[in-house]
Amino acid sequence: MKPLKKGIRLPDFKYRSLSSPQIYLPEPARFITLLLNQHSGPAIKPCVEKGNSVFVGTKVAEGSHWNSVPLHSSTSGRVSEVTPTSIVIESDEADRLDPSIHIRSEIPTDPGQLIQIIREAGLVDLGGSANPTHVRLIQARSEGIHTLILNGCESEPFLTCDHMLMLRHPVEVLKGAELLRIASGAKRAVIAIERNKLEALEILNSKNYNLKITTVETATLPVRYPQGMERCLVETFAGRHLKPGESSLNVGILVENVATAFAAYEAISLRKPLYERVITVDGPCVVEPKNLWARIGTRPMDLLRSCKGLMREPERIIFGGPMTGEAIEHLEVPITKKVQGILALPSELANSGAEEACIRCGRCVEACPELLIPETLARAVRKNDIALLEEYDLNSCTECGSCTYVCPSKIPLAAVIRSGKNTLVKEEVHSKPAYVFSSEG
Amino acid sequence: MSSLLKGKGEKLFPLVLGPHLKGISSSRTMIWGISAALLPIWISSFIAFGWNSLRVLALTVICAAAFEFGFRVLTAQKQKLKDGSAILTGALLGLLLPPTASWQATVVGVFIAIVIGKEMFGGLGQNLFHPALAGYVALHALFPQETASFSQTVSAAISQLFFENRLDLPSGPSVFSILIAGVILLLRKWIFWQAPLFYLTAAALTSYLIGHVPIYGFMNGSVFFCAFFLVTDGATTPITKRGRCIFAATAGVLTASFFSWMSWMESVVFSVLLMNAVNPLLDRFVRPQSKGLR
Repeated sequence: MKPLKKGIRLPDFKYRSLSSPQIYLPEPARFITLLLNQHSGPAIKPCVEKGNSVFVGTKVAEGSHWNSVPLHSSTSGRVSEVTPTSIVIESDEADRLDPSIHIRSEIPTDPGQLIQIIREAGLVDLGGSANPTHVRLIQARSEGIHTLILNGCESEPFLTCDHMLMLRHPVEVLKGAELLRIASGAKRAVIAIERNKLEALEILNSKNYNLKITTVETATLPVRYPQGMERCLVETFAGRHLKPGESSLNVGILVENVATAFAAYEAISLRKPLYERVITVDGPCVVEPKNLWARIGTRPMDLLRSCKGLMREPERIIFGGPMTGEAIEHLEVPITKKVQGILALPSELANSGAEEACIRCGRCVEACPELLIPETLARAVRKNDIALLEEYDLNSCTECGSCTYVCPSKIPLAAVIRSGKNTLVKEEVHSKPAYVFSSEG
Repeated sequence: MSSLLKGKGEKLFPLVLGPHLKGISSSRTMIWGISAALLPIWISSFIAFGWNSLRVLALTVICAAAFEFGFRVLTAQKQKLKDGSAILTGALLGLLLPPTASWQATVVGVFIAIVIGKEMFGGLGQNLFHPALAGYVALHALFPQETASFSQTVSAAISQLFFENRLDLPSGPSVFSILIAGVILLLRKWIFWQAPLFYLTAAALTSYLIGHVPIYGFMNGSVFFCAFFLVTDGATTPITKRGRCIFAATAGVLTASFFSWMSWMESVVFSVLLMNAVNPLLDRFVRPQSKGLR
C-alpha cells in the first residue's frame, strides 16, 4: 500500500452531524420530484402516466438500453405530473410498500443473476459519480479484476453519511461487500477507511469476526484529502498511477462506495430498489445537523425541516461535499441518487473574497496530488496558451480543488483550470476516453 | 419553523464552482507577518546605531509606500498598499543600507527598488529580480562611498559572531536576532524550511572547501539574512520545491565563492541576483513531471 502523500489536511467539521448518533427518518414530504437523468448513461423514459397510483418502490421509469438504470418511486401516492425530464408524485402519506418488496429466501450466488438484480434495483455509484453499478460490475468481470475496494474514506469535510452507515449497519455493509465481490468476480474485497473513523473500523472487524467472511478485509488510510477519490485509492492499492483516462480495471481494481454495498445488500436480500439513501444534512447554518434516510426526489427544504431548519441565512447550498460538490440555486432542487449531503454554508466558510495577486508561494504545487503546477496552468488558461497547457499536462487535473483551498491569494485555480479543460482542449479530451470519476466517497 | 426556509423565487443562491470551502491562509497575512517578523532585527540594529537606524527604516518604508502609491496613481492602476508588499520591500532595503546612508541615497535606492524593480514588472509577484536587492545594487553603483564595503575582520570568536552587532549586514544586527526572525517565519510556515537549510549548508561546505578562515566565517549577518529573507522570496525563486532547493544551494555555493573577491554583503547580493536571472529557466526545466505524463 502506498497512501497519498501529497494533497492537503482539511478541517473535518464532522463532529456536529456525528453528535446525532443515528440515521433518522425525515418527516414525510408531500411532493417527490424524480429527475430522469440521475445516472450517467443512456436516457430512460417514464413508464407511468399522470394519475396512476404508485407504491414505494414501484418502477416509474426505465430504459431499453442495457446500460440504463431504472428509477423507482420513493413514496406511495398518485403521479401528479410527468414531464420529459421528471416525474412528480404526490404522497398519500400511507407509505405502502410495493408488493414486490419482500425478503428473498434464497440469495443467488450466480454473478450474472446478482448483476441482473442490481440493475433492476436501480443501483448507481452512490459516492458521487452516479455511474451505473451493473455496468461497472460487468466491465470488471470481463476485464478480470482481483480486488474490489469499498470506499469508506469520506475524506471531504462535513460528510458523515458513509461513516454513520458503517456504524449503524455494519453487517449489511459486510454482506453487501461480499455480494458485490461475487458479482464483480474479484478475489477479495477491501473496505478502505480513513483513520478518523476507527470506531467504524472496529465495528466492522468485530462483526466480521463472527460473520467469518474471509474474503472481506479492512484497511486504514491516513486522513488526507483527496484520499477518497477513486484515482488516489487505486494508486494507493495498486502502487501505480493511472494514466489520464485509464480505467482502474487495467490494474485489476474496482472501486465502489460502501453505501453502494449497503444498497446492493438491500436490493439482493430484501428485493428493495434504491429509493432512499443516507444523506448528511450539515453546515453551520443548520440548527441540528443529522444523517437522514432521504427519499430520492425529496427537496432540500423538506430535509432541512427535519433538522429544525436554518438558523441563519446561508451563503451557498451545496449538494455533496464542500470540495467537489455542486452549488444549487434554490431549496427546491430535488436530490438525486448521487447526492451524499446537503450543506448550508455561511459566508465566512464559503465566500473566499476578492482575488489577489499571486505571490508564487508554491503551496498549490505542494498540494496537487497529480504533481501538476496549478499556478502555471491557471496562468496559461487565462492567456489561452494551449501549447503551454499541453506541456504542463492540463488533462491530468482531477479537479479535486486542493490548489484553490491552499491558495493564500484566493485565486480560483481549480475553477479556472476546469474552464480551460472544458473550452480550450475540448477536441483532445473527446478523442480520449473520458474520465470515470467517483468524485468522492 | 424557521422563516429562512423559503421556496423558489424568494431566495436564489449563487451557482458558483467549487471548492466551496475557504482556505485559512491569506497572502496579506503572510506579507504583513514577514514584515512584522523583521522586528527583532530592527531592534538589534537599534541597539547598535540608535535613532539613526530608525531614521533609515522610517525613510525607506514611507518612501516605498509613497512611490508605489504615486506610480499607481500615475499609471491609473488599483491601489495595492494594503497587501503590504511595498512596506516589506522598504523594510528589507532598510536593513541592507548602513544607518549612515544619506537621505538622498536612500530615496534613490527606494525609488529604484519599488518603481523599477517591482512596479514596472507588473507589481507583486511579477518581478524578475528581488526589488530590495535591485535597489541596493543601484545604490552600490551610484553612491559607492555610501554603501562602501564593510569587510570587518572575521577573526572573532564564534560567540562574538553570533551575539554581537556586526557590520556584515550594513544595518548592524546580530546573527542571533536574524535567527529569531527566521524561526518565526519557519514556525508560521510562511517559508519552506528547505531553502534556508540548503542555502546555509551549501555556503558552509563551499566555504570549507575553498578554505576561508575561520571556517565558521560564513555565519554572519548577511548570509543568514539572505537565507531567511532573500532566497525564500516567492516571486523571485522557482515555484516548485525542487527548484527552490536547487536555487538555494546554487546561491549558497556562489555566495561563498564570491567571498574570495568581495565582502560577504556583496557576494550575497550578487549571487542572489544572478540566480534570480536564471529563475525562469529553473521554473521551466526543474519541475516534477506530472504523474499523467510519466
